[in-house]
This record gives sequence, structure tokens and C-alpha cells, in this order.
Amino acid sequence: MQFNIQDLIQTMPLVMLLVTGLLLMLSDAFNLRSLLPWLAGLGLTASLVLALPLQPGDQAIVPVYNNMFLTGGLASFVHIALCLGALFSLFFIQDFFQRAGKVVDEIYAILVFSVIGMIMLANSNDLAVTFIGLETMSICLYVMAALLKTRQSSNEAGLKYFLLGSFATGFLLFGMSMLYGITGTTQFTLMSQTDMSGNILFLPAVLFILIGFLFKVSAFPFHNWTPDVYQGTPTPLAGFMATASKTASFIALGMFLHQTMPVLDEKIFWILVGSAVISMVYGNIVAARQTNLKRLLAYSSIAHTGYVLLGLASGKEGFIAVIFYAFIYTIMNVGAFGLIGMNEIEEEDAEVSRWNGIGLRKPWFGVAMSVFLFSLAGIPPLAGFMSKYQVFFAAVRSELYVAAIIGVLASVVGAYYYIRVIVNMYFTKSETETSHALPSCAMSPTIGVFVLAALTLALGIFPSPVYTWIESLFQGSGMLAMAGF
Amino acid sequence: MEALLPLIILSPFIGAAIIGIWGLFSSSFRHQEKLIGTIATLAVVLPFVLVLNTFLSYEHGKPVSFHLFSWMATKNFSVDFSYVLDEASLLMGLIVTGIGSLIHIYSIAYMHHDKGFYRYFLYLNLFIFSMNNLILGDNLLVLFLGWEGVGACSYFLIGYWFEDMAKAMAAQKAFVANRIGDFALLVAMFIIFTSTGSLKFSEISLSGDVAFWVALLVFIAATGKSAQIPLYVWLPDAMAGPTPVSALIHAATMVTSGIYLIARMSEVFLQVPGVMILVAVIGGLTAILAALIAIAQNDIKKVLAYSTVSQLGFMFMALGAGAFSTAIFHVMTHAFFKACLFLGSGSVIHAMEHMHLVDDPQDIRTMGKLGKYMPSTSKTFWISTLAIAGIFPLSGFFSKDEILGKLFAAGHEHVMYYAVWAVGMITAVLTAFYMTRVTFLTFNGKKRFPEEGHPHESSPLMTIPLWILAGLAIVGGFLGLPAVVGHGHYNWISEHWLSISKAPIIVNRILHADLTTEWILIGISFCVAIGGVYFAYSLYSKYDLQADLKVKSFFGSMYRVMENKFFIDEFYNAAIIRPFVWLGNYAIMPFDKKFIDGLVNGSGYLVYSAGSVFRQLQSGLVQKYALLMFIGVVVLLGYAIFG
Amino acid sequence: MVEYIPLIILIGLALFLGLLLTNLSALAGPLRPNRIKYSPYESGMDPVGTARDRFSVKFYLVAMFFILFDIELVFMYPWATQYKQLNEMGPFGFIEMLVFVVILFVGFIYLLKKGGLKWD
Repeated sequence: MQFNIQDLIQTMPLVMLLVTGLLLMLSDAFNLRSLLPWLAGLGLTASLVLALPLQPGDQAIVPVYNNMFLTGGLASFVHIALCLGALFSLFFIQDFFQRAGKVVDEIYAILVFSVIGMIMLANSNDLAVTFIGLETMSICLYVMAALLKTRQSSNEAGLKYFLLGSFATGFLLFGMSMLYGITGTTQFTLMSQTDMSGNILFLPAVLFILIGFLFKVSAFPFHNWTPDVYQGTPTPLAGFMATASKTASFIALGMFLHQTMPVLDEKIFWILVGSAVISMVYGNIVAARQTNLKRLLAYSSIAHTGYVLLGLASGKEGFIAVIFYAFIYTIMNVGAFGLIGMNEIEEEDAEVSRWNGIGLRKPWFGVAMSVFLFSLAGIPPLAGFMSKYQVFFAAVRSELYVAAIIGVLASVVGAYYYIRVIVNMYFTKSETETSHALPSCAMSPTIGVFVLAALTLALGIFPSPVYTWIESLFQGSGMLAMAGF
Repeated sequence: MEALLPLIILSPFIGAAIIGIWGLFSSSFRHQEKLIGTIATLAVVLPFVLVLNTFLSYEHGKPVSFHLFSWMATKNFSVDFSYVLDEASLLMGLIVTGIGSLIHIYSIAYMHHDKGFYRYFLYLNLFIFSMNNLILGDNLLVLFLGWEGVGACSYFLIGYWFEDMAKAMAAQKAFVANRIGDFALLVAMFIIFTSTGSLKFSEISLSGDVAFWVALLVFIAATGKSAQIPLYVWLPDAMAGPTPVSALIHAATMVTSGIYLIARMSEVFLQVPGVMILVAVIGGLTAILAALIAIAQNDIKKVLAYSTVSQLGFMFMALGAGAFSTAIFHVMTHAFFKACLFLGSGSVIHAMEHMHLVDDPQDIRTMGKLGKYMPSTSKTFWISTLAIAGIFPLSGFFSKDEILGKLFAAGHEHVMYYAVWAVGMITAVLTAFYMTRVTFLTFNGKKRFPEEGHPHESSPLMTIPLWILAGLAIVGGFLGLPAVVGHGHYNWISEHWLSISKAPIIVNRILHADLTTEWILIGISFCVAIGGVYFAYSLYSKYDLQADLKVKSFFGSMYRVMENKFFIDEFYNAAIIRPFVWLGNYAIMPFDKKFIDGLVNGSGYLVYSAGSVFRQLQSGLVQKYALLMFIGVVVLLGYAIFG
Repeated sequence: MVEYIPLIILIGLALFLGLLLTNLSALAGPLRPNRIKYSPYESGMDPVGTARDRFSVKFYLVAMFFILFDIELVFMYPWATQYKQLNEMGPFGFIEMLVFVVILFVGFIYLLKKGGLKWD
């Protein structure tokens, strides 16, 4: 055990977030209400800037605290992506709760703490850190789901998420303990040096950990909770939940699988592919039957999970594509949920029929939603196309031909229900005149929508900088190279 | 000038951006029709000038290319926004930007006082941008960008007048049909990339099974976009959009992109004769089916729509015979006369609408004798009708005759081509007949609208494009004189312009019939067209609308089938949509409800009776979810251990 | 499959032992029941009555706070026993616990200001 001041410097971005979180709690305690969103935004931005790899040597991953946690390089990118996810969500939160008629000041602290959990989860190199990160994140998410205490569905969402999440965490923890039992270490990199192939407990151990993660990313068959929870969760937070927490879980799962197993076990591989294929097909088919936008996006997120899992099963190239995908998905889905939140005062406003004719009433609103939906459907030149294309491309190169073709087919079929929403927005007359006050025209969510829509377009036309950045971080990460990459 | 070439792509985009952004935020701008129309038109005229300039100074065999920036550059995969102006893309570029410009001008008058004027021109400019990407892109991914883009724009423009649900449904139908094609194209792209490592047209070379699958998938993609059996059903419904859109997108440009794509991939197609025959057969079937349907339609735009499907079928026949450049030739002549026909029908509909006397301004049964009131529209419409019917020496004669000639010559390769040729001949007769019918019933014959109606000729903004297109429809055919004239030396398109046998431009199968046969074929074509037109004209001038009854008795019970479009929509409804709904309602839902719930309830009952621990911890659905998760765990664990 | 036999034996053993221990006392012990003995809590509180009795939510809150802070304080015990060794590396150990206490303290302030401990 040796304390190293260098480690502390390396983890400054995370410390920054922690300080922000504590300050937010204090400001909340002393009723500095108007300060809260600014403080949260400032803290997240500061942490993001601190994590930016400015020096040329920053390309490499640096393990800190006795190899328990990763910083620098790819880990920095993950940090930045997650902070960005939270920042994007921040645009929509205050306005939403104001219109829902509920003052919820603690959300800012919860948001920041959940980001800390996510970063710990994604950048961990140790089972213990993974678990602590996962729980920090999850507990914050449970609270988020139940924040709108006046809505029954929100309470229901919180409880459901909590109960099922704990259930899944049980499996995860069980798997971790087994893995520790076999290898005698909790560190990913040390595990890869232990030959575990002959051990009968090895497969169940990895499988249980996988199950824990599959629950968090809502992959088939652990997806049941998703629609109910997303529907009940306050809308902008549902967007955050659907993107940032999944991003963190995907990266953690990828790092875990790739670092502990130099060669992906064949059965685990097929479980991943199977879950991916069924998620894509199931998510897209069921989404087509939804009339509630939040449920629709929930099922669509199950489908998107399928695409990402396919990428995770496709080796290194797939993993790069996965990180890229998660980043793009964060942008477009936070935007889509944000827009739904802007057009919502009561719960029923998320019904598709309430959106009739909105594209003509509020042109920019309709355009922005169309951008996000087209991007989610994977139509060029929007960002969603390139990210999806890269994932399928990686799958094809890993000779997962059938899975890739099913994926392309599912996404083509999936376009249908996104388009249905656009039909409602543009080609259908609104029957009720009651929702004329909507959507919200507040400053902050409007800016948020513009930023996100612009990013969706820009990253579709210029995806290269981000993609090559991720790629170069992979080259520079010595640890990943060691672990069979 | 080289430095200005990127503007071919960027200018429509900039136009769309200006109109879109300005229109989004300034409601006063939305009503400045002149300004919007000028911006939008200029944004398309500029690329036309640039393409024309390149075309005029083009050195044969030396494609001009330009590069915007790199789209995606990774270690294993890179693709650029780079474009190439070669023989094929220049020709298409001229058609798209040229006709696009005319239709922009026409639209200014046609869309006058429309609520969404700026939206309309925004979509139109975006369409031209996408279309330019589609035809000029030097790789498949940029083509795909355009491919999806034109689909989306067409979708928005079909549903432009959203007031009635049918139009929204038509838009949706178009989108879904196109997505099936997109799927095929995407898969083809994956195959091409894995086998050649590039998506550039100039680097694609395939053989064997790969070539077969790619050709088949590209063909499926083309049937979606270019409205062939079995995916053609969306095009007639697409007529719900504004008429200039039907002219631009659903007649002259977008629907021909499938043909263009196949021509680009000609080298791959030539390696798989089986697929080539399939292409020809599908084309032939589509052509005759659509022509038969067109005979029994009374909506002027529907007739034109089915005639478009039918003419696209002709182009596919040419592709199937391996006469790729002939297909492009027909694309060009068809663009002239069909755009003119649609714009003419738009002019008619405009006039009928402004009378406010008829329920359906598109129904030819309430028209008649309009030629007296609308001389320009009537004359240009008649010219184009004669052109599409294949009357010598109008453009349709040359291109259609060349297609039929090539098909006949291809008969040496496979006997199936003779059958397709015969079908083509019959279709040519039918085409001459139904086009004469619709034109006669619209402009000549008895006046069938209320006596007090005084339809007016449209404004010059609308008639000038009509005259230009009619002029092109007259002379366009001389670009491809038949082989009998100077042994093909005067067939500029096929023998000169597109004669380079080099991928990626266009490779033709060498097809030659001896001169005597050619003369005979030309003679047949000539007579067939004249005969069809003459027969229809005499029939309808004698009996007017009652002539339909004669046609009805001629076809017998078949007529009802034609009238109802061969019940294809009903068939799709019963064979595809209904089963899907059924699957949803009776298979998946019950699976959810009965099977899974049953499973859950059953096991829940076990848990319940075994002890009340579970019941107290959880309530309602959560229990089921948890149990489902548990079942998932058990299955996965079972697979991991025993599988 | 053969590898799993020990596992099956273990499960069997656990089941057997569980059943044995729960039933052994009932079988072996003397059984002289009366009303008082059968009441769940032999502390004088009557557990039977209407289930709709209302408890103030504050009871739960206080209990929760107690558990939270109690458990976090438990963390200090191992630290205290190891303090000497930690001190060998300079002030690291001290600062670390200081940080922990500060975080705890912020939580406490939050609790106080939000009125978590106010009874009315």
C-alpha cells in the first residue's frame, strides 16, 4: 500500500466532480436554489476540461491506486463522454420540473453523483471498484426514477427499478465473488494472466457478471423493466438514464470481457450475439406497437442495445465502434427525450396523438425532433447512420454475417415507427387545442435542443475526428494491447 | 471553373439552408414568395450551368473529379465526399439540374399562395442536393446518402398536403417500400466492401457467387426506388404530392436512380446472365401490367403514374438486355416528355381547381375540350403524348425503338429475350392507346365540365417550362439515331458518348442485329405507334367518353381487374399486412399474454404456495419481471453449462 | 457433469441441515404453550390490532439516519487499529479519514438544514 500524489493528480477530474456534488448538497441545504444548475454545469464542465488529454503523452491509459482504476487516454474519453451526457441533460431538467410543478433541488447533486458512479464503473480495473461504481450509479438512478412523487407512475418506476436492479446486482455480485474465488484477485489485468479455462466455475462466474450488465443495458431477456421505468421516470432524466448509464455499462462490460479474457469464450460470445440479435428484433417489433413516445423510445433503446452488443461481440474494431455508437446515441437520445419533456406537462402528453401537427405549429420543434428520429432510424447523413454503419461493419468483418444482416433488416423495419411519429407531427391534424401552450419555449432547453441537433448533424457529416480520436486512444493504450488487442 | 465544381453539390444545400433557417425563425420571410423562389431557383440553376460547362468542355474518357472532404477515415474503412463527373454522371446531372431548374420556376407559379411555400422549396432544394449526391458520388456510400436523402424528401413532399390521411398513408407506404430497397443496397454494400475492400465505383470488381448476390441485391434495391414489381405500389399513391413534385421526383429523376445504379454496376451485372434475364423479365412484366392498369384509370395523374411505371419497365428491359446506355437514353427522353406531361397535367389541374366547379380536379371524365381554353398546355401535352407513344420523329420513337431492337438482338443470347421483346411490343401499342385516350379526353372531345366554367391558361412561368420540355421531347431523340443510319455512327449517346467500355462508367453488352432485321423492327415500331394513336384517336373522337365502354367490352371481365389495379394493393394487404397484424395480435401478443403470463402465473403460483416470502417482497408486475429474468438466467446458465 | 456432484451434495446437505435445525427444537424441546408465549414480541406490546394504525414517518427517518451514520462510523474502527502503520507513510492516513469525515459532515449539514431531524 503506497500513496502516490501522482495518482491524486490523475484523478483530479473525478475529485472535481465529488467536490461539485458536495457543494451542490450544501447549496441546496442553504437554499441557494438559483445557483444549483449553474454550479452543476460549471462543475461538470471543469471536470471535463481537466480530463481533456492536452499533452501528447496523454494518449496512454494510466492505471492509478494500485491498478484499481484507469485514467488518461481512453478512460479520459469515457470521462468526457459521460460528463457531456450529464451536461446535455442538464439543459432540460430545470424547465421540466418547473412545468411539472415540482421543485426538486436535489436532482443536481444526484446527477453529479451518478456521473461519478458511472465513471468509476466504466474506468475500473478492479471488481470492487466496478461494483462500487455500479451501485453509486444505480442508487442515484433509482432515486431519479422516483423523483416526481406526485405521479404514481414515477413511484412505480422507482420501486420497480430498485427491486429488479437489486435482483440483478445480486447475480453480478455472486459472479464477482466466484471469479475472485477462482483467480484470487479482483484485478482485471491480473485475471487475464490466470489460466481459468479448465475451471468449471469460470463460465458461471463470467455469465453472472454478464447478466448483471445485461440487466443494466436492458438487453433481452433482462429488458422487461425498461419501458415501465422509462415511462415513469421524469422525461429528461429518462434520457440520461437511457444513454449515460448504458454507455458506462457497455464500456465496463467491454473492458471486463476484453481484459479478463484474451480470447472471448465461445459460449459467452454466442450468448452476447444471441442476446444482441433477439434484442434488435424484439425491440424493433414491439416498439412499432407503442403509442406512448417514452415507451416507444424505451423499446427502441432495447433495439439499440442489441446493435451495441453486436459490436461488443466483434472484437477490437467492434469495441471502438461501440464507444463511438454510445457517444452518438447519448447525443441523439438525450435530445429526443429532452424534446418529449419540453412538450409535457401531464403524463399523457407523451402519447403520440398529442404530438399531432406539432411540426407545423412549432416548426423548429418539429425539425429538431425529426433530426433526432431520423438519426435514431439511421438515415444518412445524420450521426446515427455512421455509428450504426460502423457497428455492422465491424460485425461483418468478424464474420457475423447473419447477425449483421438481421441487424440491418431490423433497423430498416425499425425506421417505420420513428417515421410514424414524424407522420403524426407533420401529416396529422391535432384534435385537441388544449396543448397550445406547449412545447416549452424556455431558453435553456431550447439551446440544448439546438446544440444537440447541430451535433447530430455535424457528427454525421464529420464523424472522423471523434472516431479517429477513439481509434488513436486504442492504439495508445498499452494495457489494452496487452490484453489481447 | 474547376474550383467552382463543389458548388454543384453545395449550392442546393446552401439554398436549402438559407430558406430553412430563415423560414424557421422569421415568419414574415415565409410569405415572401418571390424571394424564396428566386433563392431556390438560383441554387439549382448554378449547378446546371456548372454541369453544362463541364459537359461542353469535357474531354472524352477523362472524368473530372472533385473532393470536398473526408467523411470517414479509419484504419480499415475510409470514404470521402468525393464526386466524379464522367460520361454517365454528366448526362444524369444535366437532366437533374436542368429539369430541376425548370420545375423550380414552374413551382413558383404553381405553389403561389400555398401555406407552406418555404417548406416546399426547402424540400425541393434538399432533393436536388440529395440527387446530385446520388448521381455524382464516386463511391457507394455517398450514393447511399443521396439515395436515402431523395427518399426522405420524396416522403415529405408526398405528404406535403397533409390534410387527408390518405396522403399521409401514401407517404408512409413510399417510405416503407423504399426501405426494403435500402436494406438490399446496404447488404450489397457490406458484401462489396468485404470482398473488395472499397466502395469506390472504380475499384469494384466482383466475380462468381459474390457478383451474383450483389447483382441480385442491387436489383432489389433498384426495384424499390424505380418502382418495379413487386415494389411498384408506392408510386401511383405518391401522386398525392404536388404535381411539380410528381414531375421532378416521380417521373424524371428519382425513380430513374435505380436504373442509373444498375448501369453504374453494369460490369457486375454482365457477369451474371441469370440476373440479367430476371431484370428484363421483371421489367417486361411491370411494363405491361402498368400499361393495362393505365387504360382503365380516370385520374389524369394516376394514368401518368402508371405510364411512368410502365416506361421504367422499358428501361429495365434495356438493362436486362445489357444495353445499359440505351436505358440511359430512354431515361433522358422519358425525363423530357414525362416531365412535360406531368407539368401539363399540373397546369390542367390548376385550371380545373380555379373553376371551383368540379369535385375532383383530376378526373378526366369532367374535363374535355380544354384545348380551346389552354392552347399552350394542350399543344405541349399533345407533343409529349406523341413522343411517349413513339411517333416518328419524336424522341420517344428513337429510344423505345432502340430498346426493342436491342432486346431482339439479345434474343441470340437467350430465347427469353424474344418473349420480353414481344411483351414490349404489346406494351408499346397499349402505351400509344392509353396516352392518346387520356390526352384526347382532357383536351379534345366534348366539354364535360359545367357550362359556366371558364378555365384559364396558366401563367408564362408555367407555360415556358412546358414549351422548353416539349421542344426537348421533339429533338431529344436525335441524340440516338438508330443503327441503320450510318451503321450507328450517328447514335451519339450509345456509340459516342457512352461508348467507353470501361468500368465504372458503363459497359455495354455488344448487341448487333443485321441491318435488314433492324429495318423491319423500325418498321414495326413505326406502325405500332401510329396504329395505337390512330385507333385511340378515331375511337374516342367518335364516341368520346362512351368509347370506354367499347374498351370495356373488348377486355371483358379483365377490365374490372385492370380498373382495380389487378388487386395488387388488396393482395399485399391480405398477404403481407394482414398476416403481420395477425402475427402481432394473435401470435406475439398472446405469446406475451398467454404463454409468458401463464408461465409466470404458473410459477408464481408455485412460489405462492411454497411460501409467502415472494408475495410479501414484491407485488404486481415486478414479480413477473423478476421471474422472467430468473428464467432467463436459468436458460443462459443451462446453455453455458450443458450447451 | 461429474464435477457438479459435490455441488449437488452441498445443496442437499444445506437443505437437510436447514430443515433439521428448524424442526429439531420443535421436536426435542418441551412444548407447553400459552397465549403470552405465542405473541411475537414478548415485550408487552400487543402486535394484534388494526393494521391501519399510523406511524409517523419520522420514526423511520430517524431509524434510517441512525443506521447510516452508525455504519459509516463503524468504518473508523479498522482505521483506528491500523493508525500506527498508516502514520508511517506520513499524514496520508490522517488526511484520508479527514476527507471521509468531511464528506460525512456535509451529509449531516444537509440533513440538518433540510429539517430531517425536526420532529414537528
